[in-house]
Amino acid sequence: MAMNARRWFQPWTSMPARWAEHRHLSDDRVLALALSTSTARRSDRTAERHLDACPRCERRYAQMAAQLDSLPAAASANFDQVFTPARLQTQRARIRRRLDILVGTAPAARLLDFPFAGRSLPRVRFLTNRWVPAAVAATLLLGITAGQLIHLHPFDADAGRTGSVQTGDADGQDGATSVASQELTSAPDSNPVVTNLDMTGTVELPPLPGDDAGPRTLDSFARLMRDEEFLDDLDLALTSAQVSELASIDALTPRVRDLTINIH
Amino acid sequence: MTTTSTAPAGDEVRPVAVETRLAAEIKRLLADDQRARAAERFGEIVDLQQRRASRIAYHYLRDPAEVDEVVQDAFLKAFLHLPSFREDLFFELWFTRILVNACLDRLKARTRRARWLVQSEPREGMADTGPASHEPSPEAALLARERRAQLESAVDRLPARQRTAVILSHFEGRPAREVSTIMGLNESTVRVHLFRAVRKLRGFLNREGWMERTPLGHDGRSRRHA
Repeated sequence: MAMNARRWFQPWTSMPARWAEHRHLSDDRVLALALSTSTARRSDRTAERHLDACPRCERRYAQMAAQLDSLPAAASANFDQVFTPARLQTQRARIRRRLDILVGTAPAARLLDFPFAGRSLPRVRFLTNRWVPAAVAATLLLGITAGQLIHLHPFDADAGRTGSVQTGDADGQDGATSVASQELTSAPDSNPVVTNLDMTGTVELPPLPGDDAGPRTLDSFARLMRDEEFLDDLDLALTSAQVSELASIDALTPRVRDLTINIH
Repeated sequence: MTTTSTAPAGDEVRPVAVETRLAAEIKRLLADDQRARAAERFGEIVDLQQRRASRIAYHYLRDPAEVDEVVQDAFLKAFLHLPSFREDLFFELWFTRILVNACLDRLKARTRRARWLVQSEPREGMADTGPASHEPSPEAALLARERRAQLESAVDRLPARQRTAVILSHFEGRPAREVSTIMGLNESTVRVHLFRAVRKLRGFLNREGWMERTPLGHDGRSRRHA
């Protein structure tokens, strides 16, 4: 029974292999055969069997093998004409010459004087000419430094007005104990505002025009400024009630003018 | 690798180990600081390898002047690096690797230059203007030159690895194992590169009708096997 079954199935199981042998080979497979690059030995054997049986594929294989064989010859067809023995000899001599120079048995190529071969050109003495770039560098450095200094402390041609700073006791006695003084530079059109304040002492300011009481201290000057500011605010409050645009807002707020009048 | 190797058609068969033995001797001379003697012995290696090196470089560059420069530079580089040459490697393969890298570098530089320079007329001895005095007729010479130009153009269009594989393996007839050593790749990878390169070449050349004009001088039965 088993024998009969095997005999019955055998043609069917061997059909794929037979089909493979009877199918025409693809171009890639023929190319792989021609290049001998196929690594699968079984498929090679299958292809070999097919080539033996199929004249068409055999002809394709022969054509492809001939084409591949013609490639190396075509690629180096004119090599022998371009690289003649004389050229190769010249190349070999150059290689040996460069090798000799490399190991020091032959002198290196020397530079010819130009434009007059008979007269040597003056040699550049780099050691003695170093001062030129050094002087240029020093000048450049000095210029940059001076520029930075001028930028930090700008020169003021109109710096005629100076103020003296006087330090004294912290209780505000005007110039009672002057410890040190220094000149201050102020802007030409500015008020006599002190630019450098001493945290512990008083600053003596120049007298105001029409003031015969002598130099004022900074504290008295600040008090004076506060009074002036207060009076300015008061004037503003007294006059702002006449602004019609603000009348509605003013109606909601306490009347400063009335308060002021009541105070007085 | 065997101790002998078959050179491409046209060259004599010679043992590969000669250069390796010479290289080992030169290495010892350099270690003993006998540089002049080493340079003299290296000249023998130059005599043995110069023609093959020029042919490989010519496949890449196609400009005889550039081939001269590359071959000279490759030999000098090999001499300078001989102290690092491993004697278990074959000198020919080691030197071919230096040469191929030099050619690829030169091609890269040429590509960079080509971006800025206008293409000039080909120089004397370039592939397109090779002498053809041995050709039977002017027409045949013209056809041969045209075929060669088409093939060179097709090879130039291949990627660098595929080009190296096809030049060394197919044009120079090197076994895949040696090419894999030169390229630093697996043998199977080299076979894949070669297969793809030839398939591309056929595609390029078929479009120009190159393959159809190839004479069938093959008997059809001499199949090559791996």
